[in-house]
Amino acid sequence: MNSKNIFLASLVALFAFFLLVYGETGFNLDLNLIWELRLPKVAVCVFAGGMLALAGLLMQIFFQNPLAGPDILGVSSGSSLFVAFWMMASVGFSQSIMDWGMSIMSFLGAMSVFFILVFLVNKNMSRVSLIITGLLISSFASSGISILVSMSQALQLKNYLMWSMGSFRNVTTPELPRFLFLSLISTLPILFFIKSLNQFLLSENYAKSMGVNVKRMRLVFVSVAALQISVVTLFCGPIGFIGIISAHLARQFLKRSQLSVLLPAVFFIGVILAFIAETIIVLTPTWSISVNAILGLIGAPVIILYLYRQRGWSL
Amino acid sequence: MKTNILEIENLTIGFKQAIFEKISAEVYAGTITALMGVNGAGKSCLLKTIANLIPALEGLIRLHGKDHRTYSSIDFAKVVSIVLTEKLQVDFLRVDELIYLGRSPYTNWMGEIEDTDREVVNRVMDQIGLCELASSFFSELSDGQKQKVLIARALAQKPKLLILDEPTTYLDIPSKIELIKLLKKISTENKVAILMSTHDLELIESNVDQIWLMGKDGSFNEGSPAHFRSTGLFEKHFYSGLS
Repeated sequence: MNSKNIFLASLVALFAFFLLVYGETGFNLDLNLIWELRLPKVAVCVFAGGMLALAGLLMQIFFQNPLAGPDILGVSSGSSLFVAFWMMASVGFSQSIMDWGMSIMSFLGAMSVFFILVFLVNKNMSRVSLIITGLLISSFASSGISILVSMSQALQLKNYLMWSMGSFRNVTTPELPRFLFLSLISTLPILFFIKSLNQFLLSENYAKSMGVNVKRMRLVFVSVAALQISVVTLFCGPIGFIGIISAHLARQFLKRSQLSVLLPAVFFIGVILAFIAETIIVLTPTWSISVNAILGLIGAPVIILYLYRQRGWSL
Repeated sequence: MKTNILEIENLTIGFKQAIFEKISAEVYAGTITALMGVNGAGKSCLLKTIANLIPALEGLIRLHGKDHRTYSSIDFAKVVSIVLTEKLQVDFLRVDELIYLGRSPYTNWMGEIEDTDREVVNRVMDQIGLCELASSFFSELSDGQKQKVLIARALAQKPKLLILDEPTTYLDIPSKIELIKLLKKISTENKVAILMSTHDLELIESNVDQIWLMGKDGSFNEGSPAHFRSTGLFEKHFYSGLS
C-alpha cells in the first residue's frame, strides 16, 4: 500500500481513538458511554464521511466534471425531499415500515435526480449548465420541503428539523447494524469497478474504445453513488462539502490519479473531514455548532482555491 | 502481398440524420491512409463510426473480413484503437499509467498488470521514445508529447487498425513532421494499418499510401496521392476558389 495512504489510515485511527475516549464530558472511559454514544458516532463518521467522498469521486469521474458532488448537483436535496415527504406522510404506520420506507424513499429521491442529470448530459448539456441545474434542483427541493413543513404537525416537524440539521449522532446502538449493513452493500461494489473507473479517467469515448460497456457502467456508477448518498442522507441528514472536496484533497495530497491508489485516500480523507467536524463539536460542547457549519467553513475555501488554481482551464 | 484489414461497403454515416452516404473503401496492413475533406464534411463522424463509437446508419464495415457488429466490445478493442481530438483534463496521471490503460482489454477484472503487458508497454514506449517521460504527469507535457503518449496508449492495445482524428492539428510544423515520420515507422514496423484525418496536404502527400477524400459535393474518392495529383482531384476540392 502507498505510504501516504498508510499515513492517512493512521490519522483516521488516531481520530477514532480520540473520539472514543474523549467526549463532551471530557476524557472518560465509562464503557456504557462509549458503547451507547461514542462508538455509534465514530462508526457513522467513518462510513458517512467515506461514502460521501467516494460518491463525490464517482460523480466527478462519471460527469467528467471536477465540481460534481452530492450536494452541488442536488442529489442530496432530492433525497431529502423524498425523505421529508415520507416523514410527513407515513403517520400511523408501524416503526419498521416507516424505517424501511424511508430508506427506499431516500434512494428513489437520489436516483430521480440522477436520472434528470444523466438525461441532460446525454443531450450534451455543458458542465457549467449542469452545475447550475444542480443548484436549481436543490432550490426546487427546498421549496417542496418548506411546503411540506408548513403542512406538518408539531412532532413530525420537530423530527424533521432535527434530522435536516445534519449530524453524525442520529444513529443509536440498536440501529447500528442496519446502518453498517446498508453502508457495506453500497460501498463494496466499487471495489469491483476500479478497472472501469480507471478507463473512464480519460473520457467516455476512450473508455468505450477500450471495450467498456458504457451504458452498463453508467447505470452502475449512478446506482452506487445514489445508494451511498441516500444511506448517508437517511441516517445523518443532508451533509455538505465532504463529497466535493475529498477527491480534490486526495489528488493534491497523493499526486496520483490511478484509482487503486486514489480510492482509499479519498475514503480516508472523507472520514478525516467528518472526524474533524466531530472533534470541533466535542471540544466546544457549549456552542452546539452543526456539522454542516464546520464543513462549510472548510469546504468553501477549498473549492475556491481549487477554482483559482484551475483558472485558464475551461470547466 | 496486401492484407485487407478494413473494408467498408455502402456506408452511410451520421448522428440520426445522414451526413455522408455511400462510402466504399478498403485499408491494408502496413499502410497509411489519410482522410481529407473540408471542415464539416463528416471526417470525425466517419472515423468514430469505424471505431464503433457511433452506430452506422446503413452499410457494412468488415474487419478481417468479419462484420464488425459480430465482435464483442473487448475483441473489437483488440483490433481497433483510436486517438481522439478531445482535450483531456486529467491531473496527476503519469505517462506510463496512461499508456497501461491501453492494456485494459487484455487484463483481468481487477486490471492486474502482468509480464506480457509490461513487455508490450515497454516496447511501445521505447519505439515512440517516451521512456524518459514515463513518470512525468501527462497534464504537464507539450501538445506534441501528449499526442505521442496517446498514440502509445492506442498501440498498447495491439491494434490491427489505428485510427487518429486530426493528430497534427494542434502541433507546430517540426512536431507535425516528427509525428508523421513516427506514424510511418509504426505502420511499417508493427504492420498496423493507420487511418488518420488531416488537413496537412503538403505534409502527408509524400508519406501516405492512400487518400480518402470526402468531397463537398457528396462524392467519396479514394486513391494514391499520385492519382489525386494526376486527375486534378486536389485542385478540384481544395484550390477551386484560388485561381
